[in-house]
Amino acid sequence: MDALFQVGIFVVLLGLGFFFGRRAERKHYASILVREDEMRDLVITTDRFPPSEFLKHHSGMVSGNVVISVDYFKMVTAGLRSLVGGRLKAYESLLDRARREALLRMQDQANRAGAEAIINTKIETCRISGNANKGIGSIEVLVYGTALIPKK
Amino acid sequence: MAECCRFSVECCDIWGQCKKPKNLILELGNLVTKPPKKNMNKEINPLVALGIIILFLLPISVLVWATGEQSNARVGAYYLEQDALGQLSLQADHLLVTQSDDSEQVFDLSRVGVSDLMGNVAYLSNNDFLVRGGGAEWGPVAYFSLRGAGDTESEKLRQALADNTAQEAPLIRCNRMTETCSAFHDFRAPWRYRLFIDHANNDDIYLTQNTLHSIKKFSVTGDRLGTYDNGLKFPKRLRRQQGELYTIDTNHHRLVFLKDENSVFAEFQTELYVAPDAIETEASAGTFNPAAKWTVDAVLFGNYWWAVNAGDDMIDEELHRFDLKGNFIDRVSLADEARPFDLLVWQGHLLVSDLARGVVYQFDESGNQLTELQSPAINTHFSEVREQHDYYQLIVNLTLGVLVLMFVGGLIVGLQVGRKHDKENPHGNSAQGDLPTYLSPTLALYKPTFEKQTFTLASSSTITREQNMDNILISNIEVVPGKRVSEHIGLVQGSTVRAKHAGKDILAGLKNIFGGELSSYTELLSESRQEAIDRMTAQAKSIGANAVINVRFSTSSIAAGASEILAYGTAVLLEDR
Repeated sequence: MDALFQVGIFVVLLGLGFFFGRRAERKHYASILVREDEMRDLVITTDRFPPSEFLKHHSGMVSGNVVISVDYFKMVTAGLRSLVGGRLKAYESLLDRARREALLRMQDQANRAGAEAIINTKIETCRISGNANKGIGSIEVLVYGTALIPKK
Repeated sequence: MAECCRFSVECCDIWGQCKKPKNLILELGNLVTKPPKKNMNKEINPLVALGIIILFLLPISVLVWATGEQSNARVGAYYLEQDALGQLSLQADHLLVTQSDDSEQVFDLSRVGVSDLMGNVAYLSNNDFLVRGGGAEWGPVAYFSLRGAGDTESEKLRQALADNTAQEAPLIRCNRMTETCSAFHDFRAPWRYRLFIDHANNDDIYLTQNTLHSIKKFSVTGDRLGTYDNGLKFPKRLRRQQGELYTIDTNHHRLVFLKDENSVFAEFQTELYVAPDAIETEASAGTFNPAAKWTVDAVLFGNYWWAVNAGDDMIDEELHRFDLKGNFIDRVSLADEARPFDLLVWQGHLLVSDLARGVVYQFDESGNQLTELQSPAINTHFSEVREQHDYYQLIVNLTLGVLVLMFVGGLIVGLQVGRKHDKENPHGNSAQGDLPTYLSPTLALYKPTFEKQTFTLASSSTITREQNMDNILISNIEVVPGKRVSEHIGLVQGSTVRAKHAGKDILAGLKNIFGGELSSYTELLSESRQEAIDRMTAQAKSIGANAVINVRFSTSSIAAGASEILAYGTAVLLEDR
């Protein structure tokens, strides 16, 4: 009886994770694509020094961060996959989303400041503990760089 | 000497001038007071936190206490014995004996160290009686939750019960007239036992060890005469029926008839099943309680076997009739809330004791209920126990209500505090928050006005006349376009360790199932990153820089639910190229 109950909970969690997680991911990707299109004209590089045409620009740091959590279904599938090894597609898409979202936030900040480019972009990923140290739990992605703003 | 100092020296400073109020001095001295502290931390004083925890623990402990007391205030067993009509055997330290001459007598057993009577009391012919001198502990509750368990489980339970020596207690032999007691035997009776004294046969004493699944036989002087433990599961009690000795094998729904000729006590003679066949057939017909899993008692009265069968958790007891071959006849109807427990054939009637109401029902041979026998003392006790039970129930309900109220109140207050905090610190979410001032290309940079500055870190009070106080440029490149580093000042850093509060943590834990962004964490982290930057900036300012370049962030989780955020960079003095 107890075992049955536990299996029931597991299945319910799995189902919830599957449906809500899939839905959230689809919606998120759609919104990411739209916003990325909007930000096309902002140059983002990882160069340490500003390109010559930006040498007279004003500069300042901008950043964006996002904390994202893996859903139950992904956790389980990734756990199964890690038995045999190989690509953990579930986590790949999760991290991809998080990184692009954080980038978009940084871009948004730079955009509002009227920047033309962001240089020296750094991406930092950090796991937030608190998920009883099992699975990947939730991760924070921080993106920061220096925005180059034209002087008026 | 000034006016105010005419009568007192104390109010004058060393120059003989009147002391001025402190804030006035500050103003006159043109000192800049510290900027108002931003309500960034919403930190709770540890003492306040402790107070809140205690506030919540208080009703919880009251709840635990009241529940415990309530479970103690249960009506115990109401045993029927032949020579003393009723015994009230409760977790009370007294024993009530209804004697055959209608008088009632109460013994105070606490004098001899008997504080609970989980088994029965047995009488010898010479006014002596035997009780178990137990401590105050109840038996394990686990016994009751053994619902239709398999043999391995009940075996496990049996061992658990048998191992617990704390629940064994010596048998004590007392005299009714002299009220003196002494140890009867070095043997210790386990929890849940029944004593049977065979008055027809030299007052032989039989001890049914319920939890040990065996029956022991003693002589009246305490000599061991034999043991029977073959295939019994929780034998309830022993009875003599027309010269035959039988025991009620509770878990097997059967009566085991024992051969008992002194030396051959341990021999099994015949058996009679009450109920098992009936369960399937009668349950479908709706006349038999399918939950009846235990046989508590059975006697032969008239042409029927009368048996008390109980359901799960030893409740839902019902009185059933079986024919001499063990076939189910019918269910004897009792009062609605009745919990039949003990049976006794007495002077041509069947007596059934009721645990719920504390009365004894009298039946004739055809199954008609004749009267209810009541004892004033038992009634008093039952009503006392019920009152106690209701009293503790009231306490339990009240504390539950208080807890719910406190929980809701705490939730509301927490939400309010969070909202207030968000209002005061709008830059929490970088997506919507204000842009940092240094991003504005037109605003002049902060200008440190002092020339040489000793390195007194974070002593911002020494700074005078600040301009563009917040506009310190922060950048993570080494060469700032359009500017020249005129002076490298050094490494500055700012860090903060933040923990999120439990409510948010739980919500985030829920979110972990569905996946998606944990916006409360995002907010928290960007807020704390801002705090780290602020600290770094303050440090840079205090050492005379107007920009921090090559800034790096680092995040590490130092404990479950808490993370450190560090921002560091090089403080420099920039000037336009």
